Amino acid sequence: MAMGRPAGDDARRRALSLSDEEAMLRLQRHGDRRAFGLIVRRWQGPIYRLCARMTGDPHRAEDLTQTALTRLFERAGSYRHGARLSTFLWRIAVNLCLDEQRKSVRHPTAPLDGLPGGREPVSSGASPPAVAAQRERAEHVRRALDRLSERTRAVVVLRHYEGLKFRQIAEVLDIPVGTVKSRMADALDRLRALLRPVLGGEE
Amino acid sequence: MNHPTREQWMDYVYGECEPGEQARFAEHLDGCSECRRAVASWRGVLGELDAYQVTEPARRRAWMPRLARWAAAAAVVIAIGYGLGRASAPDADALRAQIEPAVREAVGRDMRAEWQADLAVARAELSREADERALRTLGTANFAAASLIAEYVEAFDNVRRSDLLALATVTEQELRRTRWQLAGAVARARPASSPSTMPESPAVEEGGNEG
Repeated sequence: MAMGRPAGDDARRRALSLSDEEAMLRLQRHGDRRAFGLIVRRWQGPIYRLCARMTGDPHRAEDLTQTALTRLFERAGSYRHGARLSTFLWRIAVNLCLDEQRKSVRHPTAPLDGLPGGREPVSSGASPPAVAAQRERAEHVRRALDRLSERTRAVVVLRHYEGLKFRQIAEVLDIPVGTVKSRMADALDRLRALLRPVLGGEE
Repeated sequence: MNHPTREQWMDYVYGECEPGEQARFAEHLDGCSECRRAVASWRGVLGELDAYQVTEPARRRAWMPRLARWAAAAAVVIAIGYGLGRASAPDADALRAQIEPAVREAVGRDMRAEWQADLAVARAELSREADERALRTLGTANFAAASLIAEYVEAFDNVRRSDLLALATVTEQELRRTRWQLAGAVARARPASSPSTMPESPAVEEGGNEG
């Protein structure tokens, strides 16, 4: 059923294990689209995850991911070597999400059923009640995150879900690192209250 | 007692402390129930956040980048046709009708994510090749046309190389024809000092070696 991939493509793809920065260099100097394709394949997952958690909407997240990568391509000229590509790209994506919130009317809940963003990875053999319980937990967290301001949510998504260090988040958001950390603490306090029914009382 | 600040606890909770700090904070926790409660409650939140996992769009299969390029071009063609008044609505509809069955047959649902990526690249390139001012005014039409093609991807089941080639040929022909028309219109709209020349008229050729 699947289209057979010519052997030449496999060899080309293996050979093309460039770092992000090397790939950007090839793009800038030679217009090497294959190098850019490597960046796209490497980053569309993480960018999608960010956009999905920022907007709570898997469809919108797919559009935003495409726009972010398009924008990276268009702005390749302003990427400076020495800077990390990831910071550059995260910044593009976060700003898109922040603009998106400003533009659109936010729906209180976004549908999760049947959409990629809404499905949690479930081990095979999980019972339907377990799956439903897991989905409910995820939805509860999604709604709680939605109650945060988008700038605070951005800190949480970048630090907790994408594993960026506070220092890098400060570069992405162009704010002092102390502000990043205090926003994180604010977020955790707020989330603790919002998630209290699930977390239960404290010892 | 000097408590670490909330900001410092964030370093601790996320494992970003300097080595000396880590030990110092741990020692503080031993002797301070207030901070111990706070850190425990924050860690509880972190655990609950982990329940919110996001699955990425489905696994991508091998793809012909050229196809995405030509299909994106077709989207631009349709949009430009509308914008320049060169393609009347029936012409654009005929073009779409020509492309749609081939695309529907050819492209698998699993390819959607990879398609999106290639579409992004293709669209960005095309907007740079054509006159940017002309295209910007057609932004809305362009996106609508591109979304239309992207929508087709939803319904697909199978990838067949012959269908991909058929689609590439169809859109390539249309692209060449309309790019020539577009370039002509743009050239006429430019001030006389512009050095741009009219491209030669399109011969229907075999596809190029890209992809």
